[in-house]
Amino acid sequence: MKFWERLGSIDRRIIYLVLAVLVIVPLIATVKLPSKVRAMPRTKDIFDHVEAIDPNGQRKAMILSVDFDPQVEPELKPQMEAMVRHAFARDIPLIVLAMASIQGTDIGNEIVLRLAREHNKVYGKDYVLLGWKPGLVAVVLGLGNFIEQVFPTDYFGNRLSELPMMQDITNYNDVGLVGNFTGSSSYGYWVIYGYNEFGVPVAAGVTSVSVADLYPYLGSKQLIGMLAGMKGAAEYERLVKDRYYPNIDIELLGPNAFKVTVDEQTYDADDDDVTNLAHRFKLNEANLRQILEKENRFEKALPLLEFLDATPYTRQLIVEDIGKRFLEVKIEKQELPVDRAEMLMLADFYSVSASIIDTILRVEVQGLLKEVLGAKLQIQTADVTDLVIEEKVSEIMDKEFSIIFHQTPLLDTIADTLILEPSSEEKARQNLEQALKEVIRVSYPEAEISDSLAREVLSTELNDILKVKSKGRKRETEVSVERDIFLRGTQALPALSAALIVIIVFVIIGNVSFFVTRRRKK
Amino acid sequence: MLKRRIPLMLTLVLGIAMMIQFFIPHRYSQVIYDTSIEWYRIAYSFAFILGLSSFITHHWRKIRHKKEGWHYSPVALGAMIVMTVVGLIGLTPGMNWLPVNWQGQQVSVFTYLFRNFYNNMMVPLGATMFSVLAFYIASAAYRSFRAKSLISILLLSAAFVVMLSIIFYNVLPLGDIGEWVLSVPNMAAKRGIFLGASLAGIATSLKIILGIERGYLGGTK
Repeated sequence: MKFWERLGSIDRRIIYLVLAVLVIVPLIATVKLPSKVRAMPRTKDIFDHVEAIDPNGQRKAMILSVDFDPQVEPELKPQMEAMVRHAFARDIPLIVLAMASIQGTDIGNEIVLRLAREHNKVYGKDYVLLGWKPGLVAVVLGLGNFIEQVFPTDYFGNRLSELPMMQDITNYNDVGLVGNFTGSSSYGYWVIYGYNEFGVPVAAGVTSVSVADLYPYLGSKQLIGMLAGMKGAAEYERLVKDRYYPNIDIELLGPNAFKVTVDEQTYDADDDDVTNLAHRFKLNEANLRQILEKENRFEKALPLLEFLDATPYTRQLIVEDIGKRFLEVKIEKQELPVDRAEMLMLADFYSVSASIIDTILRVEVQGLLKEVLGAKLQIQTADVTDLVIEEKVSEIMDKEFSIIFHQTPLLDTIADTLILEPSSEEKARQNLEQALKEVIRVSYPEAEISDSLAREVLSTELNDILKVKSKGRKRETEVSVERDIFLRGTQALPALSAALIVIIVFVIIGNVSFFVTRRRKK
Repeated sequence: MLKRRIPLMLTLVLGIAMMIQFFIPHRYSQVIYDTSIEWYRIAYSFAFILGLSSFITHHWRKIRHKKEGWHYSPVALGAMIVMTVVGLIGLTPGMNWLPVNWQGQQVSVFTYLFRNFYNNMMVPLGATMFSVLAFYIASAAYRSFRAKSLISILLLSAAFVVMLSIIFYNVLPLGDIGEWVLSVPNMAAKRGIFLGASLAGIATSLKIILGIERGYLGGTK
């Protein structure tokens, strides 16, 4: 067989292999795009429409209809995430439901609940999950009359009338946009029965293969816009990121003087500018200032402000107990010694749930307490029941750091004097508490210490003792909190391009081979 | 006779009534409309019972008669039963039977199983099935996408332009040319198809309402 003929009959397994390699490599190597994704008009139209919702203070909601299965999740999930982020960033009330696909309920709920935690949104006040309802046409028509008639209860069984957000949202008159994410043609129901019948604006997020079908609706403005597959997701992500999640770097130059970098643009700023910046990008200004004021200590943290953009890579936030009150935070290659309050502040700043941090600390303290109660009070570890430990931990966690009480030498003294020989666990606890109470009374003779205050102080003290005792001991526990990937569509775009290039190249090869062999035969 | 006449009469009366209702903006007309929408939703739900019984019957027959590929049927039936049981029990509000620790929360073992089956089996299997399409498309395009005639040259060119516009989105004017192909020639062709299909839909609806088309009754005889 000659070369050209051979070129026209390449084994399909070779094509599969080339395609697989070229798609997998950009995903693993996280290839960066050479330039920013340019949003096409159909994508920009949706973004502009969402930006225009609620211009005069009239609170209008956004309905997202999640009508896709896991099969098309890679294309549609990034689209939906980008739109949910946009809605949350603009404080637009969000209603999420599924209509054409029962599996859309779980997919939609997972996305919204995760992003709601990230944006500190409250269920029932900022967003509502309605679940799935059969009926397609009937559902779209029913929502136009009275939402509660179609969904008397939400996904969790709460009555819609009892949810604060739904007090002002009755039907499509209170809805600014319906976003339909679908791998089928369910957008047609929203167009025909939602837009044509009630005039509610509809946007669609569809897979690449369906894109061509939507143009008649776009041309007639029955759809205000469309997100087309992975590319559409990447375009919307870019628009949302540029507007609400840019890379921000703030450097404190001196009193009332900052150098601010937003994406690649650098400018000098004063106090007011920082306030505006915080307001515009919904940063916690108090936290921002606290970090800036601690310039020396948080010097290394300043470049970490870039994390606000939640860049497309998975990050690790490692919290390590280094004894006393101090924890060590490792983010990528940077290490910061922080106390718990600062840890929580950072957690808030980086949108890591404080409850996760609490869980981490709880586990830490629980282990430590068990160890110390066992060794120090000379009782068997097995005798320290989980209930006792849990009680003590709750006590400590609830009251910890509620009173500022830093007296390290005092704590060392207490620790050293606590050589007790208890006959029982209960006795040991009483002795411990009594000893601590005495020390407090001696240290603060002028203070009238009520029982509740004493209990509070005790909790703090006990925790400090435990921390003192752990001083110098290398903790082995490391807890990682994996951050989620943000720009899913953008990240996958190089792989999509690679797949298309493979198809184009092989089609060209096939055609060249076809023409050459045909000419030779003639 | 009644078996056929009653459904035909109902279709005729309700079909015409709902057409007329659309043009009457009166309160009573709206009440009829709202009620019919609710009935529609209820009736729609029964389709699931039909689907379920059809699914079970189909696979049961396959197993019984040992038809080709019958050994997949027990898997399908088993998966359906398991998911139904764990789903019904596990997703009941307030359910906490046999609690296990899952993602830092105490949940019922049924909830745990349902979530795990769904997230770790259903999702990856579904995504894999769809992803495989890319390989078939690449192979099929290589074998059969040939510029043999003017029409196939046009098709090939349009496909190349659209694909290149996705890859080189920022290289002007490629992105814009791709958008033009979709929003002008593509839209013109699609509109024609849609109009034709819609007119055919109206004609078919009228045939059903007037009792000319009786396929939905289970045959025309």
